[in-house]
Amino acid sequence: MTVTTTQVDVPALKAIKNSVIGNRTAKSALAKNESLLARLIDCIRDPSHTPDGSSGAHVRVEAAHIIASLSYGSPDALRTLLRLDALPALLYAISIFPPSDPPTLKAALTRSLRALAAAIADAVGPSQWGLSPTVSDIRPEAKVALDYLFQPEVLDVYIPLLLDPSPAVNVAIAQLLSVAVRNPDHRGRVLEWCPPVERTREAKGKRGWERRDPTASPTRRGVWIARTLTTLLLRKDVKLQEAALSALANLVRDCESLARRLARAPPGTESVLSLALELSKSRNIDLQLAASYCATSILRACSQTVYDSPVSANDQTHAITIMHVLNRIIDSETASNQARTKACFILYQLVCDHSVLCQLAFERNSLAKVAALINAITPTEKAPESEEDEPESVSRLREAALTAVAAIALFDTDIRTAVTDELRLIPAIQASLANRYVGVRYAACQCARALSRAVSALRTNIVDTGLGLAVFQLFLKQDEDRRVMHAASAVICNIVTNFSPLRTALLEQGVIPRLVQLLRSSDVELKLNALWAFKNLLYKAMPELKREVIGAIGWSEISNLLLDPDSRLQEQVFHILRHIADGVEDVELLFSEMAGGEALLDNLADAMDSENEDVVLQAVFVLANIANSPTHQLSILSHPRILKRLRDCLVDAKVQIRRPAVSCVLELARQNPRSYRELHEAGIDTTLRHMLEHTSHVATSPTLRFGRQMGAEDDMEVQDKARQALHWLEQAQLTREMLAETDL
Amino acid sequence: MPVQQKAKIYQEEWERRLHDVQVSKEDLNRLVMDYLVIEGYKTAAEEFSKEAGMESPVDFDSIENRMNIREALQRGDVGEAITRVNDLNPEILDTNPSLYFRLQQQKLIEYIRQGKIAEALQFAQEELAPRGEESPEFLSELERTMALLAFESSPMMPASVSELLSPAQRMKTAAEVNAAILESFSQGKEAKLVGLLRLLCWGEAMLEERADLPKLDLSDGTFGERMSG
Repeated sequence: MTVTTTQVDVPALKAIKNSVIGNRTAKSALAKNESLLARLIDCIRDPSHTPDGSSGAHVRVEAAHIIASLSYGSPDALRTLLRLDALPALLYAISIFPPSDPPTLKAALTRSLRALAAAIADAVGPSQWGLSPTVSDIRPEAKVALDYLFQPEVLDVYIPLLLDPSPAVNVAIAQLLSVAVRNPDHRGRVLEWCPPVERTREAKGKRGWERRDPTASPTRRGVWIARTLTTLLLRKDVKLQEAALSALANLVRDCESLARRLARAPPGTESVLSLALELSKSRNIDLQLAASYCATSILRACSQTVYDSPVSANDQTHAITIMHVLNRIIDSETASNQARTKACFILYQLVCDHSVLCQLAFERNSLAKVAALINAITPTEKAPESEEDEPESVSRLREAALTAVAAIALFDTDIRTAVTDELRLIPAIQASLANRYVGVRYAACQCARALSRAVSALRTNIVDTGLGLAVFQLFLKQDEDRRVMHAASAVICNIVTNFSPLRTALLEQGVIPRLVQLLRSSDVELKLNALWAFKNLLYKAMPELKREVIGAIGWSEISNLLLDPDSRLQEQVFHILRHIADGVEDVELLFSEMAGGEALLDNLADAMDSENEDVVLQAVFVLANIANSPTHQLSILSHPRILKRLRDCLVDAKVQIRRPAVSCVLELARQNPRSYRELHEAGIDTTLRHMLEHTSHVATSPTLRFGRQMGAEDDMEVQDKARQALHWLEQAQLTREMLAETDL
Repeated sequence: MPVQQKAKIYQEEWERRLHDVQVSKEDLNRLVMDYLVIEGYKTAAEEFSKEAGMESPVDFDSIENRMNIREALQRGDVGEAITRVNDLNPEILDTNPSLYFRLQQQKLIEYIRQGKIAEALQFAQEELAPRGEESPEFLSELERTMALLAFESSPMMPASVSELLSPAQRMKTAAEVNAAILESFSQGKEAKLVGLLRLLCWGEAMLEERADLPKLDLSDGTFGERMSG
């Protein structure tokens, strides 16, 4: 649409508006007309550039509608809008908005702000629901704009509008908060916001030299915003309630103090959590979803716990309520794809990484309903035309459903068995591995990963159905999306173990070269998974396999990785060495390949000194394995730094480390009578004696921890080995003394 | 279950039992009002509201807007309909691609109906083909519509294509737009009366498994003895 000298008047703008709404090609075309767009943005920002009175206001309203429409689904238009500073223009217009202007204009401006903010946030990511298919190429500019949106002075412009008399304005701002807040930094700023009046009050209450520290009172976080959004929630306006619930859901994430406050009822009223649960049973499906999302976010934020911690009966009841609502939506034949997609993602968020909740979801039939949905929408016979024609909404629905399944099946074997046997999901999962939509492939890999964690499934369903090999084919692809590769490589880690029937096939089909490729990539997560897979591959492996793997990776690469700044990588490499050196002959292999072993021992000494306990643990295991080989014990004994570290591990480390440490000492003492001098110089015998002091009453003493802190050992296994080692050392000492005497 | 063992309910008794059920006049009025509002009959709703002495749940202007849109579509003026939808809520068509496509498709149908073949072809090329590229799921509908041009007024035209020209197609589009507008304002999409009718048919089917009963003839509202099965 080429417009050269357009009159910026209402009829012209309406015509433009009607041509672009819904029409992506028209939007791209208009985006090229930068001079016109600049004029539109200009009249939004500066009322003096439009005629006075109501006609001017109408022009600005139409201009705002056009900007809003351009924000929907047009990356070209978004780029132009960013470049022409549409965002600051809208904010400025809102900030100087006089009461004399019509409320329709304010509503149009705030709606436009929300639409633009949503588009910018989508371009920056992370995606709020599932995987985003592509990385936007305007991400850098969008990031700048998004950061600007959450500057304190800018928050002062729009957050107060939550209290504006116009409901349309309230809705727009609440919606903005629910879609534009994507990271903890921005979330924190919104939560800490309070009106200027309250700020000065707080400042006055402090002495002059005290700076207001927002982290000083974490319980005050989110008070104003929670209170304000709750007020909106209590109005009987469905759209407003929906927006307020979604905003609360987004803001409460990872904020435990706010979540607890929202779950608690102030005297005489209902808590936000119970309000949300009530509204989740309303007749309006969008309200049901927003309410479920809010309740879910509050529940999960309340308890940031370990995956298998118990869930209170109260919380379980709440979770069940939410599951019922979601089940009904997922099951419904009349609900739209978008609604069912959202329901699946909320279910995922409800149970993710929490085994008790996963079990509940299984018992409450959520898994069955999601599985039925997947099977209903996934053709398992390959029909390429049908895949081309599939609406994006169906692909996204499949992604959401598979994501939910993967989460629910992550921990429990019975659930996994249900997925494969009763619910028969494997054909759909396998078909989805080849789907053209990246989110679907990713979710399918996650399902495979969950299933591959069960030994029984490995032997039957992953092998017999070809699912394992199908994932492997995906794993071998050179140009696959990075996130899918993460998920696929995680599956490979599980299926290269020595009890996996697929191991031989994978080795024959080139798993090692591919893992080496990943190891050499710059992506840390891929490197980590590759190392993990190698570690599993090398566990109790035959010498030929060990040599093959080492040959493929290369010792210089291994040596480099031992010094990698990322402790997770270090941990895996040491674990690999531990698996390599698990037999006496293999220790020889280790030393001969690593140029004499001096460097290796230096690395071990450094690792045993690491701040990361996992690295220390693996290094001690490696050392313990080396100590099994008499020929190499001398290397250890002639390395004072290692001996010193070993001594430290006997007392300072957790019991998982002390056990291999004391085994190592025992081997050194037992096999090598001449070891006495070095061990004595490192103070190891003194330490052992100290550990064994007070042991008889430490074991039964109620003040066990106190005893431990005094240096005494409380673990039976460690005690036992320490006693044996000390015995050998004392024998050796006696022998030396005898020999010394006879010499004289 | 063999037919002889089913209980038989006679029409007289049936009507008596139906009569005994208490349904307030107020409820009936609300059902009628709900129907008129949702289907967009503004004048009727206004009159009815006066006669029955009840308030409308929504303001009559919004009913009028929806009615105007429906009328525009029923006379084939899609451009007017799109303008009015955008006046009412500029977000509907941006957030509802399949609805937008349906309207564009209707526009193409109207060009063809009026014999404006050149405009139709240009419109299809410039407007509809890009929609098909963006979202392949619209392609089959697009092909069906283009088939109208291919067949012209040939008697060989299949029913699936010729029905695009029928008034029913216009009404279908109008109904979809109406539902989308109602949903965007969080109002119910379907008249409660329609839902009740569905419930009635389901209830009759359930009962019929155990009894012979006089079923309601939905075309004229009378009862008749109908052979079951």
